[in-house]
Amino acid sequence: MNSLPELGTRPVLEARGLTMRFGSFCALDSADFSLYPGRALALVGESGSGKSTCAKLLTHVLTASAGHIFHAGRDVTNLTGRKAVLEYRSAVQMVFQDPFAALNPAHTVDHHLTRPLALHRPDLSSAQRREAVADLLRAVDLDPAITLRKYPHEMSGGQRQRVNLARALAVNPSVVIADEPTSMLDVSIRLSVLDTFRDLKRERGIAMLYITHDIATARYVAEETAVIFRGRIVERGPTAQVIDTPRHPYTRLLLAAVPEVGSPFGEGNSLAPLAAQVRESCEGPAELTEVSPGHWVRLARA
Amino acid sequence: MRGLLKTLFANRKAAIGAAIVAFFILVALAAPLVAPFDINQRVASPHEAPSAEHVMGATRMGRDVLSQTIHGTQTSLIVGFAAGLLVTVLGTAIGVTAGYFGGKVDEVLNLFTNISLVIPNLPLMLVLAAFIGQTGPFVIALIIGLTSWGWGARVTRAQALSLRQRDYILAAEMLGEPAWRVISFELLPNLISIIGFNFIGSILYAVITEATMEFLGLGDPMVVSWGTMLYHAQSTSALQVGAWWEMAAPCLALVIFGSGLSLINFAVDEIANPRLRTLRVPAKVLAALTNRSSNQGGRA
Amino acid sequence: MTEPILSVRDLCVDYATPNGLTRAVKNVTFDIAAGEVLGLAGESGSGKSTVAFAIARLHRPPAFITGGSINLAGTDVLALNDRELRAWRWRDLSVVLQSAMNALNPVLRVSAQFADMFKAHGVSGKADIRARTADLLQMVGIQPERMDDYPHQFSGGMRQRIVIAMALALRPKLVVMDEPTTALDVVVQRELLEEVAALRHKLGFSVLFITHDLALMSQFCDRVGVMLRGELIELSTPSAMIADPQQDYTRRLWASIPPLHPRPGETLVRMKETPQ
Repeated sequence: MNSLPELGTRPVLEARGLTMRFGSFCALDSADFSLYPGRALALVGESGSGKSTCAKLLTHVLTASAGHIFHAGRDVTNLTGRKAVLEYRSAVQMVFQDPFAALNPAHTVDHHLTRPLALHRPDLSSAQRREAVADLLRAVDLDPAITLRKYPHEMSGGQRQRVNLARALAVNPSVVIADEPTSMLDVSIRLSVLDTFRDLKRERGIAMLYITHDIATARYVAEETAVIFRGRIVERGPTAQVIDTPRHPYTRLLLAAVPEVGSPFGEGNSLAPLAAQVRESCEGPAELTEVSPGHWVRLARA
Repeated sequence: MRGLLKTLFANRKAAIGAAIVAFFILVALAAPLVAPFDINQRVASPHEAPSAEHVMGATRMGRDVLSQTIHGTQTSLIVGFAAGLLVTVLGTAIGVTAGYFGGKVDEVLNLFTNISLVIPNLPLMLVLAAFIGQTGPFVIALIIGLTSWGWGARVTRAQALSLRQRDYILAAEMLGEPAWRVISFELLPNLISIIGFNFIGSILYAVITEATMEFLGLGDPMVVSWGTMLYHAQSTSALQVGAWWEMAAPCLALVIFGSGLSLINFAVDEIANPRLRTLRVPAKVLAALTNRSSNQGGRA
Repeated sequence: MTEPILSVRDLCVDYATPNGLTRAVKNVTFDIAAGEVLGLAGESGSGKSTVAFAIARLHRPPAFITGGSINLAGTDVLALNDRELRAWRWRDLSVVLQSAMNALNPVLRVSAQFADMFKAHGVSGKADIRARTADLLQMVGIQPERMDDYPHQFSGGMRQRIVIAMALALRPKLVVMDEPTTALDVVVQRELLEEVAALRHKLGFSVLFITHDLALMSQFCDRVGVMLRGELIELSTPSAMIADPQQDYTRRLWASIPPLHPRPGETLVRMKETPQ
């Protein structure tokens, strides 16, 4: 994976100073990032860090309190009118965290995949639509013959998540926001599901935002990783660099807390003192500064 | 839907209830054929006691109570189903709309719902009926339907509100589905069991309320229904002269039919709440279990 | 060799469905030593939670224990009648579940919930109960002054600590933990389990730890058992299992964990879900 986008590529989706406030509580504070075609950005953080808020802002479920969102250069921060919203939504799609809740228990897979095609590709005849649905299922590694007539409760978590991805792809989006797509799946199958995400991203040139609290999986999907803590992006850069040479104390804490095979507790690697230290140090104003090409860290002003 | 019906009939309570309701429906459909006597003819002596010829005795006017009960089934059931349908359609439409759209729409609809709930239904219906004069069953059905939808609306709204937040509804909206499609095709299919429950409950309520109104004299005395039978029995002092059968027949009909509906609703409740379902273990499975554990000397 | 604190032999659990009996747990046999942390790993539906529930006698129809024996510190768990069960629960064995955060009654103060539990087990005296509650909360890192707060005033991780404190209140011999940290963040998870590990050394209780997170299991548990389709297919220490897996499924399971720092030349396995 190239760690930096090729020179001259324009971002498909950009967030500049994106802020969301709920009353006096600031859920997201001045987020800056760009999504490029065929590349993924991993947004890593705890629950309550603001990453889901980010997803909701980008998909227009929430309207930003401040800041801008640009889609292919156009300012789409405040969209009005059903037509504009529909157009945006056919370009930016979301894959949800809970594979079961994202599918309607009353309908089969066929319904779930036919509807987006019926809405966004009215030019297709019903035979062409059927073929397109079958193609989508094959693209996510599911057998159309078996899967089409299944109800959500008849499928496993991994299969449901693949159907969710197929549904998002049905409208031919340029951006896919994946909100913790594997966190409710068993660890053993996460990789195979993430492979599908990564392959489709490359094949179709889709820009992807991969939201997760599991930083270990970022390496397998995303070229770039941003770490978010208490509503602010504290570090952003090429994934390998952020994981191997973290610069922000919170990133270091996160990496130290990730379960790693074969390093049992108690042998002098306790987290508690580091955690307390980090939580104190993360208050107060700080700027994002570039510490190496493409690698930005929010360091406290001296 | 197929699974729903299968579960419904697998449940013994529901099967009995369904059988009772089906029986009454058949009686209502075949009333002119099944009733032994003409209901408007004097075919027996006044207040004749039950006998082989008149199984449920006769009224003060010498009319056969059994035949009247059979014909009354027709009227009562038609009113019951019609009013029940009206109540359910109104309640569901208002409840789901309020639950889905929220905001101003919800506020306005809630206002109407609250008004409908707060005003005591029966006195309102009595006032309306008295105002309109001698009201036939059709008008009674309409009055019941237009005043009793509040509870169903409230319950459906609550369920719609909770489902509204599910990811799959949001996903459908994000795909660009128009609101009416999301409500009709994504939301409503998941509300079937609560709508069904309301429907059955509404029919029960309607049948009893109709009987009540007619008993109080607000119906058309020329029409034969369970309620008007009670009215006539009352106005001819049937109980006081010992002609208990004239009261008993329509009461019994109401009670049995009502029980049938309630039994069906037990099963609908089980369908809606799967946890109630699993407590039932098929007898043969249980037998295999106890055999196995006693063979091994362990405990179940 | 000292007596194990928990002894499970040939445990079988069946589910009654309209189509007959389905065996969810097949002849599972294992021991837990005093003060040991044993982990049960496996995919969803492999039966690991079912084993945990069976040991705690939490199953209700349509789940039935149809065979085997469970012995906890000399007590035949399956032979306990209702009265004995009520006394035994929480005193000898306690449970921490995944949704334990929701197991706290939202309308009762935390102190009241501890009091309920103590009173149910014969501890009386308001002052005594409050003192013991304060001790327990301190033990898990919660300020005792917050004893009279409501559950919603605590964060998710803190609520889980409260639940753990409650689980240890009567000094049980075994604590069964079923995915206790799955809903928590990685940092909170780590802090919590470090706390539990320290408490285990101090108080000497054993833990049966259920999770699907194998990496976490290798850090927290002394021994790990792998379950597949209701059977316990392998049981040994994490290092032994990683170095020399006996079953192919075990080998693939360990190899499917995405490591934070991949070693060059190491191939990862992509597992497909195993139908259970």
